[in-house]
Amino acid sequence: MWWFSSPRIVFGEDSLEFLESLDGRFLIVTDENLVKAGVVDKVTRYLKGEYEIFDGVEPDPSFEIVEEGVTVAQSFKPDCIIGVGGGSSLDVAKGIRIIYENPDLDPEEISPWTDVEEKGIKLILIPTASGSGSEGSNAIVLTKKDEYRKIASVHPRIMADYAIIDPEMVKELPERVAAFTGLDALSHAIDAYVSAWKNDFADGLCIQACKLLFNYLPRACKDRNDREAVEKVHNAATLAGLAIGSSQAGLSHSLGHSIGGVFHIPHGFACGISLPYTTKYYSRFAMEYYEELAYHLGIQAKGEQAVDELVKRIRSLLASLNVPDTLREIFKEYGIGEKEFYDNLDKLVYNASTDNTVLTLIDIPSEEDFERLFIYAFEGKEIDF
Amino acid sequence: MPKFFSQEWIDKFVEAINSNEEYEKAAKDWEGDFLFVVEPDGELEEPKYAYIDLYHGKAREGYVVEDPSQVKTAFEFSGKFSDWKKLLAGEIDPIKGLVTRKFKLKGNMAMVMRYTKAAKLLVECTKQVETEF
Repeated sequence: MWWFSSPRIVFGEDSLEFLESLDGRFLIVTDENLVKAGVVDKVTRYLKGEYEIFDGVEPDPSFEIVEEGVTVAQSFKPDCIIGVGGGSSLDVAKGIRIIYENPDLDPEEISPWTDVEEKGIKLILIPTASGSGSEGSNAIVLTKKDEYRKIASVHPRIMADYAIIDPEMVKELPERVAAFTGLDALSHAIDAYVSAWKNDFADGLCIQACKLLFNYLPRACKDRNDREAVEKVHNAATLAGLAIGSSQAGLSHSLGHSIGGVFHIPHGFACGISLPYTTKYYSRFAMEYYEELAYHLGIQAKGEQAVDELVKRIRSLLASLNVPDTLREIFKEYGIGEKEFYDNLDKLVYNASTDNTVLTLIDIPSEEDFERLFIYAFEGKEIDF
Repeated sequence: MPKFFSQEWIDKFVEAINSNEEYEKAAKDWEGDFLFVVEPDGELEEPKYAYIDLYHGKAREGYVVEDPSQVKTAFEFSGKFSDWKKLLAGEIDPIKGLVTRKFKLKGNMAMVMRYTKAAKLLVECTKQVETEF
């Protein structure tokens, strides 16, 4: 027995107009940059009822931010919580809804088998980036600051009631942000397709998301006025988010969560740059799945050659987005040097090998293999183990 | 072949845990004992209980429990007999089993969520014990 669940999805141009059909009090969960940039106004102009904005969401949001948002909710008493933003704001909105409905629940205690009450508070998620897929998944990723680590919580009640996938919300996304968020979506789609929990309901979404991202992401990054490409990438991110909601993320995210927790580089870069390495390494466990995925992407080769072609395709996508294919190069952009990387290697390995995403790997790499994966991805070495 | 949840079976389970290096690494800071519960269904009339003390990557002791009210553990993992059989046969993924409520886990979830790999490896250890049901 397993599940595939999804919010009701409103998509395409003008889908924000759906908000006009709703009544009640609205709590908007977002970050202050989106408020300043006027992005939140695109949402509030459609709201008929009273609303309050909680704009305290930070990058790599912590458990404490969820608690702050719950305090605002307890004072404002919303009927509906609307998350507006990237994965961080949407995750915090999900966290606020479940804790607002269950005030005695410690956010750290949320597990898939925790008993929770549903009190009818609606949750609407409106992504302003095309990557996290948070709007389509029943997971929250929050940072435990004192442990430098991200913790993923999964629960059916985390799933939103509605997701609004309006390309209007992402049209001003800067090129660099569009690149790393798109790479996050690609990591979701590939990870989910080779997961031990892969299933018939999610596989097709992964294939379509990969096709859209390989075809449209470079165009969407280069020209945000390319409406077709921007919309296709926006849809792809949600498709991939739905897929990981059922099949779960995998090895590129084990590395990505760990890198993000320690060095705070954008999650999409951490996962996307890990992908060529995790794909080649993990093909020892999932050769058939990679071969199948490669076939759907138009790669005719078989076996290991198919994997190599797929890796080439990923590297070529990175290059077309002006994203390096080594951790060393991306770390440089964020002022992280070789010494800092190697000084933190043990922590990276430990956090990756105990990340929740390892649960749905066909086989869990040993700590030695995790260490090599980090070093190879840092140095840009071809996987040969 | 030891009978499921007999003292001999628990000893073999403890042995399997203590010889698993990956588990030892994954659970190196874990402190918390477990009560495992097999709930009766069609094939089993009375519940069965086993106590296992897990500490820093090792199982310190394990024994059959006759009266669960006499033991107070940090965690309790329970499920129906037929589902336990499927779990040991690898037909149920342990985490999916929990999510779909075939199994129940009580205890500090914040702690469990940090040791998910260890939890998975712990279940893998049960599969190493040849079992007569």
